[in-house]
Amino acid sequence: MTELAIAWILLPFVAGLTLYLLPSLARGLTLAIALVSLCVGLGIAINQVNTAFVLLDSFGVSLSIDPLSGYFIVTNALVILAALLHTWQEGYKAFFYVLLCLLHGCANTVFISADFLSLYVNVEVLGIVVFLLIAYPRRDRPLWIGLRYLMVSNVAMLFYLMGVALVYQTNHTFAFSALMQAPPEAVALILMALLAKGAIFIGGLWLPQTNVVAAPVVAALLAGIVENAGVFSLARVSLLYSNIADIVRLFALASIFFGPIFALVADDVRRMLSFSTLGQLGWVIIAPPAAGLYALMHGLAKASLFLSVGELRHYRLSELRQEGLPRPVAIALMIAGYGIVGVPFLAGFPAKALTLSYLDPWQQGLLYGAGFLTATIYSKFLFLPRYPSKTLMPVGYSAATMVLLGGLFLANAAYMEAYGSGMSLLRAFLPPLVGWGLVALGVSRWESAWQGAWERLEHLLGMMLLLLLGLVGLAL
Amino acid sequence: MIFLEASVFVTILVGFLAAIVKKNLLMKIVTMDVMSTGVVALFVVIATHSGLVTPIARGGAFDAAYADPVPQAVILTAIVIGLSIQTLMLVAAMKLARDNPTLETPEIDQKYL
Repeated sequence: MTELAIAWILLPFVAGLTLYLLPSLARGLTLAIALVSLCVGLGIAINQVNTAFVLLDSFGVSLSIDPLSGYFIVTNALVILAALLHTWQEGYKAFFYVLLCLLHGCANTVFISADFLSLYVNVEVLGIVVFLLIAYPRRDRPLWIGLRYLMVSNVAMLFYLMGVALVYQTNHTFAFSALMQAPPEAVALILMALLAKGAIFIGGLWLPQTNVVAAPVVAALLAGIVENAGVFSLARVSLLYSNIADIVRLFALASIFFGPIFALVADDVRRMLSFSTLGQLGWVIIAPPAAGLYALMHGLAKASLFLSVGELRHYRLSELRQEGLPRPVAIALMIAGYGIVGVPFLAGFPAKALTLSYLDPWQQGLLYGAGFLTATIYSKFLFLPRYPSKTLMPVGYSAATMVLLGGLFLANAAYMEAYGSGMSLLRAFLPPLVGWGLVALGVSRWESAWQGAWERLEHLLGMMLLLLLGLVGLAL
Repeated sequence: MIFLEASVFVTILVGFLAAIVKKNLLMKIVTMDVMSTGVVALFVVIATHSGLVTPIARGGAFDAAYADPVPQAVILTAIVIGLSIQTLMLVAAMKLARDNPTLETPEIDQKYL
């Protein structure tokens, strides 16, 4: 078992370096890796594998594999698969596929690591890979956005490392299980870094412009894999300690309302989607036991949304209302959008039901209210004019969308109990209806190209200080 | 000892605040290096809490209070990662300098954001 796990962890890294030497194998090897990980992830999630082991001795790397990791691994594999299919005929260089393999490998390792140091190493490598992916077009604008991401992530991870040093000082171990005995400032430092990396609340303000500037396929990877890797450790740590879970829940709630409000007034489709991501990531971590299914649902739906948006010629909603969009793209946008809203028969419904079942009634009420905001955002797609596309959509895009939306439909199987009561089915149809009504009444008139000064580099760093101060206050 | 630890934290804080205050991109990158040096020093200081002697047994029993080798060993990884990120940031700054010779971050932010 241990040997198999190690072989599976190493596979993407070995493949990544191999295909750098043999570029003609690039797409085939990436496909093989995505399929292997898909099988591994499904195996873990379906068989409810629950195992933990330490490599080497007491200071070695500790790994823990449980169904939660299974869901994240499946998401990772499916999004990589979709990215591969999408770029299959677009003439990307082998270097791009090297990055895809490394991204996949680092994210997988994040999903099974159970000590702070291996988490640190993988998250840092993930950050470097994301920088290279964003800067792949080699133009100045993506380069600057990538550099901004790298700086924010570097500073956040230095704080994280400080927290880890303090954890080690008190417990002489790096395991996640040592966090509780650590001083409160260590908890604050580590949580702050994870909140900033995972794009929760004001720590995630680097995200909107990053998604706007990055290529659509990179934006899909960011939404489907990189942010999941950021929030996964928050979910893991919350599962271990109830008082840390309380702090995380507070930030999750803040993010759930913060994201959609700004998404509602965004003019650019990509900004709208990424602000909505801020809110959805809050949903992922608010109920850690349900995080797996929610992350799977959100990763697939958001990746599909970004890939579809990449097929458009205009990104401003006001222009789209005049020009319209090709019918296949519009249908994909609606299915994925309503998947996130939580319409029955798509995975969003069971994911939301499972998340709510772990929460207190007042939190359920708040989240149900936030559902109306999300529904309003995605109802905007219904009001965009559609025209039949004269040419066929690119094969790569169609295949990628099939994979993602198919996954979004099949993920229903993870929690069929949600369909048990007719009342909850009825309740799930209310937000989309109200959202549709609100858009019909003209919510769209509040859209603007406004972009806060808080998205500049200095302010992003300053936000971290604010988060840190808030967290120290909460942790004490 | 407490003085040493305090100066380590001051180094980290100075690095971080300078990263916010300094406008020039190259200066920002250097301040991040200052911050990371502080973090590395923190690990080294923590390693010395148990003692100062290098834990190498030279025949016979070893009974001196020795420094904890674990933090020193793991921080090597962080140093290597920090170095590669610094290099990447400097390369990106080099590329950006072609069109933005002053490398003032507020201006670059205004132009590209």
